Amino acid sequence: MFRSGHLKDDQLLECYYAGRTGEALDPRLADHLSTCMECNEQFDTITTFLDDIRTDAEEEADALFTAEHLRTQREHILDRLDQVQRPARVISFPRRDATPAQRSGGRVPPRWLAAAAAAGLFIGVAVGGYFGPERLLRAPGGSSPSRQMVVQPRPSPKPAVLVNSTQPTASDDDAFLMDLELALARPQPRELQAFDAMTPHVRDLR
Amino acid sequence: MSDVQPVRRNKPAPDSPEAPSTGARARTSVPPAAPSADTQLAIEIRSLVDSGAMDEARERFGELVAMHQRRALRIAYQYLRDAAEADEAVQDAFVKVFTHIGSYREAWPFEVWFTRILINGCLDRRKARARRDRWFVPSSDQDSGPETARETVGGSAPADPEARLLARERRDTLAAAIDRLDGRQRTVFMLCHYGDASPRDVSAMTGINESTVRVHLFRAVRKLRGFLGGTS
Repeated sequence: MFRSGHLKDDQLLECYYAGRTGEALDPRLADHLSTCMECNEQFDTITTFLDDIRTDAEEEADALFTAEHLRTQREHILDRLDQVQRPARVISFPRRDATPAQRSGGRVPPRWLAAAAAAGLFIGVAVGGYFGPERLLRAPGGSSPSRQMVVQPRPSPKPAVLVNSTQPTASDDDAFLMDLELALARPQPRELQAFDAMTPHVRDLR
Repeated sequence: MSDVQPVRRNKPAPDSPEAPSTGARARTSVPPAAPSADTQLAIEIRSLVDSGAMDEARERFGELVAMHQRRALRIAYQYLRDAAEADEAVQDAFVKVFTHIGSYREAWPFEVWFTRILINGCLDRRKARARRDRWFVPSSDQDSGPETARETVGGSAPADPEARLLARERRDTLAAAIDRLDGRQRTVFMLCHYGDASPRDVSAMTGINESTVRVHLFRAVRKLRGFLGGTS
């Protein structure tokens, strides 16, 4: 049990934790510890080391979690429990006990409504045909500003890249390819090399 | 410290059929003891919940929270090293305890059951944090160190800047040393050392064999003494 007549470190540790938690200690260990000066010193070293660690950690935690914080936390916990206990609110669906006749009677629009919608559509198409966009474009200059805003086509935004509408010439192609070659010859950032590897090269297409 | 109420332990006899089979026996047999105050309270809350008296159960649960709150925060903080996260972990553990109080069995002390729920939550949070750290680069203005956490929670720090710095360095060294322990050694050490749990309790909390708990504890302390320069 004892090595060279003394307690081993794990036995000293058992003594320490038994003292802390109130567990019953092996009487042989207790007897030896009470009589052996060397083991006692070793036990004191271990006790001091572990107690320092513990005290330090406790002080740190206690500084963080003050009594006020504990009270607040307790309230939060109880509030959460209150929410847990409260049954979820169920949104009631429309009642389904109405008879089909009642449902259809209440939902089907009257016939005059369909007739009014058809008449409106007809009038709209007729007016649209008469005052069509062409006619509105040919409207005289004295028209109202609001109509002008509607009728006048907006100027198209300037394109970001100006493209020559004429057929590309050979010199243009050469300049374009030279630009490409210059771009390829430049040192490439490492981050773009993966994309570069996945993209077909102009030089391969030629 | 003033609101910490001592929790008397109740341990079932090792030969009790209710005791989990940890594969190890205590060195000395412990006679069956009366349930501790917290265990009695938990049983009472369970019966209140069963009978539908939720308001009263909630009120009594507040007492249970007060008994274990500080100890739980110490353990959670040592696991997570982040005050806000420790606070959340403890809240979650208590809420989980209340919602599952019906499944509590008094074969083991309430403290053991609760701590098991708490450390499982803390371990989940550590795993989630490790995943986050793998995928996200922290921004420069984020510093989740203890000092930031201290400010977040609003705790008091030592007034002397030098003492504060030294204390912080010492705690950082200790935290780093504990973090270097293996997972099981760290858990066993924290529960025994900060959670006031005996190896037998830790065995029940973690499901590790009691003799293995003792071995892990011994190795953890030996390693810590090596890391922190303590004599071995």
